[in-house]
Amino acid sequence: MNSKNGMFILGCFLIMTNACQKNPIPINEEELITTLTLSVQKNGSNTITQFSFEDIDGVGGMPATIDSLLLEKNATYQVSISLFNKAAIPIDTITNEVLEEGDMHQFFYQSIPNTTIKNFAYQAPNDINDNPIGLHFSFDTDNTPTIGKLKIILRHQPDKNGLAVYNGDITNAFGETDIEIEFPVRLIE
Amino acid sequence: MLQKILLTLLIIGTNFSFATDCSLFVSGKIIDQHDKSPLSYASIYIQELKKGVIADSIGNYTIENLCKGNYTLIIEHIGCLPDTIPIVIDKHTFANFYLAHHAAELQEFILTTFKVSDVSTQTHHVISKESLKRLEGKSIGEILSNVNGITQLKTGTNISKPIIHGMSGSRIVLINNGIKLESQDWGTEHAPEIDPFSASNIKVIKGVGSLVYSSDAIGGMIILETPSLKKYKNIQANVSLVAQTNGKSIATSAKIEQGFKKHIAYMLQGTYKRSGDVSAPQYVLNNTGLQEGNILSSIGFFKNKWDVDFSYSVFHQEIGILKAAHIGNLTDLQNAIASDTPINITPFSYRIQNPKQKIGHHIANAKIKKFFKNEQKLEIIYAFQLNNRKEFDIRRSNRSTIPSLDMHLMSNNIATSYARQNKINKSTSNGTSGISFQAQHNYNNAETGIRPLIPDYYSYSFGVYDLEYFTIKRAIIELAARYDYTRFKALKFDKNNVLQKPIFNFHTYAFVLGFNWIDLKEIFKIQSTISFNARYPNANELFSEGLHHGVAAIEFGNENLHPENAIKWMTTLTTNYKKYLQIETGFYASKVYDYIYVAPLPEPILTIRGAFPAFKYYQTNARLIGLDVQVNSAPLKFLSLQFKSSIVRGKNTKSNEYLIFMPADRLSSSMELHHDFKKIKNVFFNINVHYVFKQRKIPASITDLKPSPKAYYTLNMQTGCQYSINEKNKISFSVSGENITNVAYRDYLNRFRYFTDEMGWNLVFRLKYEFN
Repeated sequence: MNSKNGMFILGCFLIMTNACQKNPIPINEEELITTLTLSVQKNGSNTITQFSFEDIDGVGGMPATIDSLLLEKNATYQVSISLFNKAAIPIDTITNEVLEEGDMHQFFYQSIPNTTIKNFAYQAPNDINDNPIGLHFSFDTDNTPTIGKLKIILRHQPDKNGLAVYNGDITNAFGETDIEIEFPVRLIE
Repeated sequence: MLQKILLTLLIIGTNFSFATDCSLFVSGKIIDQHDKSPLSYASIYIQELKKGVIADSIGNYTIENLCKGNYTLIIEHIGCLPDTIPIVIDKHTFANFYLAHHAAELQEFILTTFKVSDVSTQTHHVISKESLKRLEGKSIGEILSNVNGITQLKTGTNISKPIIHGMSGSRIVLINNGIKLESQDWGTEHAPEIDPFSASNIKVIKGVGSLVYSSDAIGGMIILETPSLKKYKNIQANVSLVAQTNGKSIATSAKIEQGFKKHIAYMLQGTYKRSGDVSAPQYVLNNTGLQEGNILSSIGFFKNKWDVDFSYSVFHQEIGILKAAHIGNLTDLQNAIASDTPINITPFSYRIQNPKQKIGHHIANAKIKKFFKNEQKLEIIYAFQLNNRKEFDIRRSNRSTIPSLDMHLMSNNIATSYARQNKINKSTSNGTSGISFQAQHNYNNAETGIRPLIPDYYSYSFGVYDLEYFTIKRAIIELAARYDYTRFKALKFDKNNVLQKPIFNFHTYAFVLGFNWIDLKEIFKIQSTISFNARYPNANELFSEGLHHGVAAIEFGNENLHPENAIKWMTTLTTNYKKYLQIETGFYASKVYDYIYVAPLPEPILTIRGAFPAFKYYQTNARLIGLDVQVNSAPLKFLSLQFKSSIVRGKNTKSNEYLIFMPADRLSSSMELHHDFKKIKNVFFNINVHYVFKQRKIPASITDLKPSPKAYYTLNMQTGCQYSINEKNKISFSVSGENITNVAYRDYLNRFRYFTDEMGWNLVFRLKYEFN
């Protein structure tokens, strides 16, 4: 509270009139992550497909919307993650914040069941200590058409030196979860 | 707590000096009738002037600044009904009073009485100056938990809120220096902004309390008395030093008071506290440090029948929040709970890192009193309070230095009261009537960049009350009523950032009918009160919307809530057997209509952080029944024994289920040896065992994150003494060991019991120097 504002409120208080009441300013929620978008490209293909998890109004309010991933069986995919705050004006790209503080963030990926998608691998860029961040990654799909889920987790301040954390094992990563979402996955012929 | 003042009264009047109009004094000694030894710390109170003093450790007392007239003195040593001794003051007077001193060894919680309007017939306990001395350096919540029937609602080791008879938060009203504390009491992690070092005694009323202050104390009222300004006294000062091994903490407090002949007196008091990470028996609790600085200053002017005083106090605290409790989502929470010890323990540090809280509370007030003839008094109080709460979180992109929450609550109160007394034959009636106004504004700093949990609001209230006390022979009857109107206007943004201005109008009523009687031989005393009162929903119950990180839950307010109404009946019986054994039994039953509580929503809420369980405020009917039993015994002159137990049962009568988070049953036993030597007084050794049962009375429909913890005990000891260098200078010293056996335990009512054990063993060293 600046002192001018304080004096105004204090002065008004003594008179206690309606006219004195000040309207609050709407808050620009800079830090909110409303949207996570996966840009998915099959090896050997030029097509990039996007799938999003979106919850524009944050906690409560309207429910979140989630796209389903439609992938080919027995293929290798390259994925890049983009994060946005669409509640902020102008729309804010949070991807850059994560990239800048790469040593404080790491993505983890899980497949449910673990046969639907496999061989998750971190792709460059790495953080300043050459540890993975995970904004870019690749995976292989199963040999048979099936359905499953792809879970994406972002940990803030993880222990990047924890056992197997480098390889994407979340068990010893600790830290605080900033993102934990699941995309439905369908593998087709 | 029964003590009879025998009317063995010796008054020696001397023509000491010429008396100017109102500068007479009465002084003397309070003496044990049996062995003629002086009684320390008795209270002497002049009913007509509504002022009193406490005798010193060797029984000396002085009441100054008296006008000629007939007065009624009330003298108490270890609690009893206010008893009256008439005295005529027409010159400086020396009067020694002889008391039957059979229960003087029962040292804890000496009952003292200051204001008739505060006394009431309701069951109350006073933590005396002497008891406070033994608890210096502890938080207000910890100090209060020494009273039977009072427990703590904790968040970690530093944040403690009192629970009276199973109720806490905004159901409890705190009065600090005659002013109702207006703080952001909107969650379990908001502790009262009070410096216990500034209190001369603390009174706990297990009922509605005095309707002078407010009517919404459904659980109880806590009154902190700060020392009254010493009108004609010379310099008085004290310095305290408290060091604790667990947390490697240090607390120091100093106070100076002085009265000048020219009708001016002042007081200045300051406290500083610093603590590092505290430790559980097996590990360090990272980021549990604390830093606190408080100042209280007051100045008073007294002329003829006018008293005017001004005071200003500031409380500032920075508290680290346990690192292990900081979690992002439900998975993190489940991981933290599944792990028996915190993950990633780092060595001890004094550093307070995010997440942390910074709290500031300022009170500025002015009090004007005018005394009229026939014991009438008019009082006007104005108080301004500013409460600022900043919460810092771990944030991205260098935002960690920007608070995630920054709220300012400003309150303006003006109250005026008129007190009077009537005497008809052998009965006396004391009455107080008054009106009060409040204007309050809650303001969020928009620079946090996070939607506030509680919106901005303006609220205006008006209250009117009347209290009557009738003293008829050995009985006191209390009748009190109060009406309050509150207009509450919130300014909040909906999900589309459109400003909404919902307005609420609340009308609340309170009534108290109390009865207090003591038999002639003082073997039997009964206090019985029936009360009706109401509390309107507060800002978080109406509007809260957001994620509570510590418990990984989303909480929603409910704008359809209306005031909750409570009826409470409480009866306390005190019996004395052969002067050596005293039993105090307090029984209470309260029914709360439209009791406001949180209940889980059927579906969890999906967010980008994962799915969270969601809770919303609802209303139901509740019933709380309980029993507080205390046995004091002094079988030998140097030995006293104490046993305490309290039980409370809370039921949601609509769903016929237990209420969640009710205090578990508990027992506490202590033994104390004490002796006074010639120069070294008050030598004591105290050993205490505190036992808390497992809470099994929990609602079946609400799944707790972790089952209620096992029963536990703690063993505590304290020893100390007081050395009088001369009449004016004395030094007291004590050492206490808490949880000596280093038991690892968890308490049902600590919100961080999901993550860590309670504090391990701790040694506390206390040193105090007093100058009179």
